[in-house]
Amino acid sequence: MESNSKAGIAVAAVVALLVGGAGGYLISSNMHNDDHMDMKSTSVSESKPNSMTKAADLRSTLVGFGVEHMDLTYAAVAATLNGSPSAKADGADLYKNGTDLGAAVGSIYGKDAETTFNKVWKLHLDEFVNYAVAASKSDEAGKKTALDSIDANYTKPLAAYLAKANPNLPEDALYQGLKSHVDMTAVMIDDEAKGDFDAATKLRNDGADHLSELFSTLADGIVKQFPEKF
Amino acid sequence: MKNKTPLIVIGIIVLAGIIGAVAYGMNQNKSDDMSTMDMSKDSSKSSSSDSMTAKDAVSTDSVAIENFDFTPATITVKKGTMVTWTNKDSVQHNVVGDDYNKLNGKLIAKGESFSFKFDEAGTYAYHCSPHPYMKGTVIVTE
Repeated sequence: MESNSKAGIAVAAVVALLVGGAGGYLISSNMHNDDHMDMKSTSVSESKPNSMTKAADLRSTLVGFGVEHMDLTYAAVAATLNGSPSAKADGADLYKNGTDLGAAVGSIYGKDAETTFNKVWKLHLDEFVNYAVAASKSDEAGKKTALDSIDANYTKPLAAYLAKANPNLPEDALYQGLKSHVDMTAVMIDDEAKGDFDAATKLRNDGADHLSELFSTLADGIVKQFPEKF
Repeated sequence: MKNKTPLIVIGIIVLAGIIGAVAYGMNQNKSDDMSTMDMSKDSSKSSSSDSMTAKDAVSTDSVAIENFDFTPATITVKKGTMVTWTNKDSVQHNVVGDDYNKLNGKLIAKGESFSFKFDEAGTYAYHCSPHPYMKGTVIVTE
């Protein structure tokens, strides 16, 4: 009878091990799957921890601005090159997208950061206007002047500024990411100036994808830097 | 004497549950190392060369670099052939082997070309280093 009792305990122990282990694994699996929410969705379940919501919201906001930036650039350039009556409004929308982005930066790093960001961001928009004008005239020298100015007054300073503000963001990686954005935008404008809108659309979409990746990384760097805010 | 079996079982369940959760956590491979992050475009959305196979390869020794694409994305040449890439974009690109160090072209501006002679048979994947989502392949036959 004693041996039967011991055998019973052993069976119960094995069952408990299996049930407990499987239960713990499954519970963790469910919790992890909740992390992989749609990054562009803002309708997050109220049952999710607040930190995941704030981080996802930041990422969604920045990515949204990035995608919007490429769309608005494409539209503003097309309208300008075509002499469309919507050119002024399209340009205003593009500049507003920039200040919206600046406000997002300022909400994290303060008003001075927002001011600096807006100044640098506007400069690259202004220079791309110059670039588009040069492209419409097949003025290669003018295009080069605009790109050199963007590199010296936007790409390099912004990469340095963001890297200094956030140690999680390496300056060289930031520079390459921003430069890729500038390069793609330049060639997109070239395509529009040539009237090759299929090619321009392809680069608009590629540019949007690229900025989505870049701004996702920026968001992740911010969340890592300020875990208490997220 | 009080039967302690239920307590033992409960204790084992709790311990096993913890072990199960830890095991799940160890299985997840989530890197948060920002020091090696790549801020360039995700290669999963790169040019069509990713989906190209040998049967899609074009027999030519010339590749155009245009609109952030290598065209044709995949080419096939015989051993000893000089392949020439010509940049038609307003920004600089280059040609750098993914795993082949000898293929390491400098940045070329619009209108400039880069040439490389492939002396050994094999499949050579390459990319543009400032824009790593731009990819191409050279298949060299005997």
